[in-house]
Amino acid sequence: MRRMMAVTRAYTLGMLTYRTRTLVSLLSVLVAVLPVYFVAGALQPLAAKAIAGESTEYFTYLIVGTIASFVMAEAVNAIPSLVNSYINSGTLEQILTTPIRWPSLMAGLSAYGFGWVAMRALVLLLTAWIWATSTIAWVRFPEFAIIMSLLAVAYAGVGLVAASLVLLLRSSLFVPQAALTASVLLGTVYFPRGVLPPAFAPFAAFVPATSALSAARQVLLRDLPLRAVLPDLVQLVGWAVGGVLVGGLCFHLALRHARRAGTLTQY
Amino acid sequence: MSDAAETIVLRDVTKSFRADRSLLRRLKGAPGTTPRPVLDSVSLTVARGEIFGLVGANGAGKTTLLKILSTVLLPDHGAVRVDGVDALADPATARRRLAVVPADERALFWRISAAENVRLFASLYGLTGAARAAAVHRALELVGLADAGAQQVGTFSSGMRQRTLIARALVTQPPILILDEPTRSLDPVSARELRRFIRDVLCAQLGTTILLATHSTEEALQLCDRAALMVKGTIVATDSLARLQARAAGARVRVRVDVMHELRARALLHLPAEIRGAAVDGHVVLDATLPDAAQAPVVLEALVRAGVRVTEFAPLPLTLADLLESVTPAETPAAAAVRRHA
Repeated sequence: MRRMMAVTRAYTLGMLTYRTRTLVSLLSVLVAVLPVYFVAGALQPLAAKAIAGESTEYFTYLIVGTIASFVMAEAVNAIPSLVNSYINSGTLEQILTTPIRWPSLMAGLSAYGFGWVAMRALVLLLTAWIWATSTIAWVRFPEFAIIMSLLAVAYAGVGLVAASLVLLLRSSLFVPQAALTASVLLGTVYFPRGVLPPAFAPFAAFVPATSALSAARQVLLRDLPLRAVLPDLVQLVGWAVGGVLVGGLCFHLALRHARRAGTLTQY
Repeated sequence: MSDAAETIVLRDVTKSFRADRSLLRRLKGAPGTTPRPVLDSVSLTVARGEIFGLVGANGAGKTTLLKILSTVLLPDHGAVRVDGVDALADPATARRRLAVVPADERALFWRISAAENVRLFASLYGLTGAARAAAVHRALELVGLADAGAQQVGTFSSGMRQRTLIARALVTQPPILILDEPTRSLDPVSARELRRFIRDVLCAQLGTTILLATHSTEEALQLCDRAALMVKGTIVATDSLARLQARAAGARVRVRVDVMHELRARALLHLPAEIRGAAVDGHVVLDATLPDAAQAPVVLEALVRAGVRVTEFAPLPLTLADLLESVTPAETPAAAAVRRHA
């Protein structure tokens, strides 16, 4: 844990030197809310019935979906892009000559990214709270954070698989993009499952975002306790455990292969 | 920690790489996709407190050997022991016994300070609190960066970055230090200072065992107690630097003669007559290779007896090619490549 924190500290200190980029990124979140607000307002009469089980207002429904998309994007992209960049600079190989284990290293390196996502999510929620007509159950925020964390862990499995491919082939073979696209299309990020074409609707169950968003919206927008969304939660936990196990195994094997093939660094 | 005199032991270490890693071309059986040997049955031992050099041209396998030793690369065959620990069976323990200074300074975190870079590695090796702070300060002080520790590494010169890499490796005072071409990006003055630091502080004061990869004979001569000469993945000689130098020194000489006597001198020195040197102040400089160092006085006497006016006759500084030639019967491709490059 201490080693993981040390990596997080070093990485965070480095990232905090990009002051302008940080500020612009935060401002862009605020700007991005505007079109969402107006489009959601225009579609509210059409969407109201379809989203009734999760939210009374399409704007807040979209805000939660957007937060989930931030989490998923970070989870699937952070680890493979860091591995790729650190292979090129030789940093990965250098750190692996020290006693740190790879799970701590990966967790330490990606912690900043998830922290940053949490910050942007908070800005989005605060903006929604100010503009929305419906209420946000702030008292349920810890439960909402748990659900988003589980979503991050579930998709980090995809990130680990992609990072394994980077170790093996120097390319993630578009695995993160494929996972993200499928999740955004099928996972009720921007529209409810009911509006999916019948041919696609059954596949929504095979996307971790579906159960996560169902639980997250009910908790945060309908003020329901975690036990009320237990089936979704159990499914999400299953995705998270399975994702980490599969991703972890892939990364472990890929790292071992890279140690044999000499692909831990770019020649 | 092991009390054995031999702190690094490599036995029959063999490693092959594919030059072309493309899966598609491998399936097609394209040339370059079959494994190419990079290390071939390499064995060596390094004694505690010794500075041992791996000397060889680029591509000789020095860095590969260091990577195997530092556990980031697995050999195909062979045994590796680090401070009494089997590095292949127990890499985690082996990693605690050594620290690596890589050749590439990009391995640092450039956006944070030198002190933070060193602090990170101190934490990765398990140091905490006041002990870590003291170790970071001491390491930066050792490499002369105590005053610049708060500066971002990205603002440093190459020499300062190299020192940061060394401070980072030294922060836990490892018994073994692996240095991969430590003076590669340094100017001559900084390189000399760093070598003095390695010899006088790391080795003499701290008693660190140092394994150093270099293609600079000057560096090896100034630093190493013993060295292994590597050619194409094999060790062709392992000896003390004094003995290796004695075998090669004097074999190449620089002869400065009157321009009027150039042809006669060329004939006696077995140099091609059709290539003529540029005359400066009525003299030409000829570099010649003698069969061995003992021939130097004989050749000089022959020149003088033949009426050649010789104004300079001195051994040339030892080069890597000279060293490699002195231990191999015929000129190796590596030596030829080095000579062509020179």
